[in-house]
Amino acid sequence: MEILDSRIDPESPEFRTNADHHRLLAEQLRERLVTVRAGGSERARRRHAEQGKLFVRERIDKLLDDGSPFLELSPLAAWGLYDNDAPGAGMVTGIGRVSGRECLIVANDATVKGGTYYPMTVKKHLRAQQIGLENRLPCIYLVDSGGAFLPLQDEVFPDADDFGRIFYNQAVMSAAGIPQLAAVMGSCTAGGAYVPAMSDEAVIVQGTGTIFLGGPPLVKAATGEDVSAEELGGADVHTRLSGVADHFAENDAHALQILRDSVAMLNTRKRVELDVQTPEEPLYDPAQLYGVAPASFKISYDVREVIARLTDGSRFGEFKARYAPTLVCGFARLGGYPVGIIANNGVLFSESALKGTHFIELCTARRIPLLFLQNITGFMVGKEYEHGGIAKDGAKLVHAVANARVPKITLLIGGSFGAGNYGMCGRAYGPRFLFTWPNSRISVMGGEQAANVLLTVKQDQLARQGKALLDAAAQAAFRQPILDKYEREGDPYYATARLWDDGIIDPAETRTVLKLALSACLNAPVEATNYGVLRM
Amino acid sequence: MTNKPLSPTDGMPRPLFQKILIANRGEIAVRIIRACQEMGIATVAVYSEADAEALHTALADEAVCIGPPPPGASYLRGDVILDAARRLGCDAVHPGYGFLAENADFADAVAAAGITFIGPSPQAMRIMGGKTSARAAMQQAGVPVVPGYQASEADADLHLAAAEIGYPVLVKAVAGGGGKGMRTVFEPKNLAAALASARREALNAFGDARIYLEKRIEQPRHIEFQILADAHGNIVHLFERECSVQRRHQKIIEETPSPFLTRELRARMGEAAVAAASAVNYVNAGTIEFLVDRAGNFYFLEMNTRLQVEHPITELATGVDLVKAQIRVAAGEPLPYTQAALSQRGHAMECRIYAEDPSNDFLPAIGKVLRAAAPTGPGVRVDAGIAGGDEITRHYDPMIAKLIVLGEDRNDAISRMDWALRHYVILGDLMTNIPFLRDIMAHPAFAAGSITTNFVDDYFGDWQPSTEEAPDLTFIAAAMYEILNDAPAVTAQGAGGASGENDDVYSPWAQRTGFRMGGD
Amino acid sequence: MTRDFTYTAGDRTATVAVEKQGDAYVVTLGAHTYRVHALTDARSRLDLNVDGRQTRAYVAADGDARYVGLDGATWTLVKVDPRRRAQRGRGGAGDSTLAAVMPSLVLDVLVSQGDAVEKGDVLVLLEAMKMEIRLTAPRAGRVEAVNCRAGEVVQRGQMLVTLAQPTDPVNGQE
Repeated sequence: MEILDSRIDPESPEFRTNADHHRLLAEQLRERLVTVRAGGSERARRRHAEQGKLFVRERIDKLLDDGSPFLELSPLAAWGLYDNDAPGAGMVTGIGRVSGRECLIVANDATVKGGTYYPMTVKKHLRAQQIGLENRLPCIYLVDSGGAFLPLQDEVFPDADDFGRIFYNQAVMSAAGIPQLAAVMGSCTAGGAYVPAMSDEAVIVQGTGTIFLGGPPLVKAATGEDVSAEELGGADVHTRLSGVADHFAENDAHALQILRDSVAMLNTRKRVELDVQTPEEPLYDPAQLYGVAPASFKISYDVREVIARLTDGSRFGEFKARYAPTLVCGFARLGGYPVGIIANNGVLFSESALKGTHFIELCTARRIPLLFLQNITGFMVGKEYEHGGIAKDGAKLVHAVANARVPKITLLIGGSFGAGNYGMCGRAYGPRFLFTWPNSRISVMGGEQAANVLLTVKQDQLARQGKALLDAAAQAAFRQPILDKYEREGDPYYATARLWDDGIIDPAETRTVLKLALSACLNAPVEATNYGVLRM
Repeated sequence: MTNKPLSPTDGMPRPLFQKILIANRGEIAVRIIRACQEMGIATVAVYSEADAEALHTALADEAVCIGPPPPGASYLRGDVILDAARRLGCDAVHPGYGFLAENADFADAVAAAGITFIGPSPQAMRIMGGKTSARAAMQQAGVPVVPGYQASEADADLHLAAAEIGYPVLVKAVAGGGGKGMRTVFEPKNLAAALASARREALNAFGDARIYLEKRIEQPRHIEFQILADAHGNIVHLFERECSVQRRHQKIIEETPSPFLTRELRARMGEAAVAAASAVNYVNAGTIEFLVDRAGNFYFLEMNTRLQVEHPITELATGVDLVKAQIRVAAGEPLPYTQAALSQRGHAMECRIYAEDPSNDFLPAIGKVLRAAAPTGPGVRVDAGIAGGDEITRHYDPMIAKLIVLGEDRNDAISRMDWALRHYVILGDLMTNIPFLRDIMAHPAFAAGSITTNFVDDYFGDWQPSTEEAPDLTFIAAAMYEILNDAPAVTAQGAGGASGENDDVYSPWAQRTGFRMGGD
Repeated sequence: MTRDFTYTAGDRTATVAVEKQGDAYVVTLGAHTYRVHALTDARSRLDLNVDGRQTRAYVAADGDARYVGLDGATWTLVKVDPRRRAQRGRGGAGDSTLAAVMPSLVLDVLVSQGDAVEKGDVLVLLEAMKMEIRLTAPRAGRVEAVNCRAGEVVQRGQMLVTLAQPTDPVNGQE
């Protein structure tokens, strides 16, 4: 397979400028992750510790195999939302290895508003479950939550993708043979009580773990009965009397050990039905990715420079290299696993879409996972292209992307605008994982274009009404709020806060993250693909 | 010291010394340790920081670090070494060759500490150590010396003297040796410049700018005689060593017997050598070096009051263990043999294996020896101071080892030496003179024995290593090495062979990286 | 499974393909095929029987260097990672002509005819679809022709710069 030959000089001033820019963004990401990792307020943390409870990340560390990687999902959920009261949406989710088995972990952070569910907490929980379902990962719930965040109950409770979906998912996954395990390590009230109750196997911690549909205050209000939480639904009650939980744990560490023992007896095996080869490191340091992408994605660059820093041995067997150069397609290996890469290298034309469609057909026929590297302003516009049928060719690509049943992973390395987002496997197209770089931008179109479109509409309107057109100053004033809005809403933190992706990643960690994600996908067998009717 | 009474049942006689400190490094330190081990004497090695893992350090019973790598800070620190000898209860010090071996002050200090210095008296060292005093002593004893002039340092006097000796003349440093500060002057007009530069070099090298003149012997051979003398007045010589093959005034190939000496000349030179040693009441092993001209005239060059690098060829040809003899003599034992009892047998030859570049003025090469495999077999001896993994550093002499063979006759010795050179494997990022030595072995002039001190310049002045292309076998050997050592190979141009593995054998999840997003 | 090893010794570079067949190895080097039996002391000594001839070789490795001691000679081989060899085969029209990939406005032309350029040098700056597009040299060479001017609107596929064909093959044979 061909080895990509980098044309970039890491000593050049341009490389350094780029690297400074991206390193700064990565630094900002790291700082924000650190902020979120701290969880709730100092007071809440103190109270948590006083109860003898481990912090959520300590629990995960103890649950995981020694040294296991932890692929955290949506760590910056709810960033900038709810007055910043819910760091990480009060929950940590991710994938890690437990007793040699890759598992999906959903863990409440009780130091954040008692682990109650904000709308984004629900979304994060559901997204994690979806990842568990699609990739057939055993799900482990470390429960420590007061249930729904009542002030926002209308956004949390009633709809299809709200709180109830959590238990629906548990039932469906359990039926599908995807193990559901829970440890109750704090309160587990009301709806939350169904998490352990719906699980295949549940552990409860003595002294801190409680399960009840109605807590002592509700009981008091409803029936006048005076009862302590422990009496009402503690570890002893549920493991001896009610049978709501199966295992009695003396403390957090004990509970986590019991879970590890349970996973060890799941009797499942990861079967990787791919031609796996010995992994190789890329020839070029992935940390050079900082310097590869221009500081502004208005400047084009060769996306192969990115690929060269991601794939094993920097190898890339390019497909149709001489045809439709603005969409780069080719085979590579990532951590030894075969992968088909589709990467933007400019605007999409009709032939780019056809090339991408052909390549997706190749990958699905061979059951090779797909990696999309998105940096797309959109499809080409203009009379020539519309007449050439770019819409129907774009549709073929969207068809192929939508129906491809091989694992799909999407990474936003630059812009993600308009229909390009669809053709390149945006969130709506069911990628198993979708990560973004800190420099990425996502919106229906670029702010500049939106401002121009809206300005043209406005001017036309004024002309029709026979009014004076906006002068230069007025145009600028008209455009500015639009630009501001797109700037704010296109920000990757705005996106990740709303779970439009599975997390912003440091470019230097891209290869590690992609390898882990790809490997996690392989827990589910690769299915055969059927395509619908393609317009010719 | 415990004087345990000797019981008749003791198989071994009481050792002559209890513990000897070896004030040296490299192959000679290893050689001395070996002799001590055979004699049942405990050994103490001294080593510089650069030699902490050197062979001599590892082999000795005890080892003492005496300072940083530069010799001036370690192997030349007589005070530090003597202190170690005292501290560790050594009753003798063997200086080897080089470093402190001919330092009379050190010998004095050792003796003053009540420790035996294995070597001659400081007095003999002093006389023979100065060119002037040595020449005077030899002239007095009737030993021929190279015509020369040392009466004055004045340029005018030196010009007159040079004319009288006859050009070409040599300008030599009084305190010199090893060719440092030496100049050959062919015409009077060049003398002044030669004097100035020789003085400068002598001052730098020896801290003594004094020089003298000597007649240049045309087509000279360097032939030396091994002397052994005890404290009871017995002196023998152990015949000659022909050391004419030199580069940069340093010997690289030595042999005995000399292909040049007749029985008669050998006897006369031997007598002269014994006379020379007697003149300074010499005790212990020493070497009288002579220059011999085409006509067989020989002249005293200098005396080395110590063991020589090339002593093994004498050992092989005479059957005498010179290091053990040194130790016995130092302990006061008389020589166990008379001159008449000594004889030469076969032909012994030594090649010095250097880390150097013979095609570039023999510049020392430095680097790491990854693997050394010395030849072994009948008549082959290797005195090496290095092992695989050792480094040849810039701090010390770049001699890796001495390869010594004993053959039935000279031709036999040459073919045996060639075999041994072919089988001396030294692998690493350093050059050795082995290909050069092999080319000398194959040279007709060398085979004919027509060797003078100009031999290398005459026949190998523009020597270059063979530029033949690496044969297939080298590539095959390298590839088989990878295969047998299971080095990870790169599969042919991309995804070639089928792995056949369907399990997740390379799972990134199985790697205990402890990865967390955004670091820790 | 065949394993390939490539080494350079002096001016000679050769690839050795080794395939195990039973207790022997079939070693292919250029046009020659050898049958090799090999034993090792697991350090550096190799006793090789090559087509019936017994040879003792010594090999030591240090990084990419392989020191081979063979019959009194020491050879220094450098192991070449075939992955590091430059690859060819990508690129547009023969890597010599550089065309616009879409209708664009020429912002700037940074080279003139006759200029020597290095691989990766920016030759022309274009703008299209709000993107700045850089046309870079796919290889070192001399600029034979420049077919565009700043401010000009160029069509897709229009040749903008032509590099002179290299007089001797730059990439050569692998």
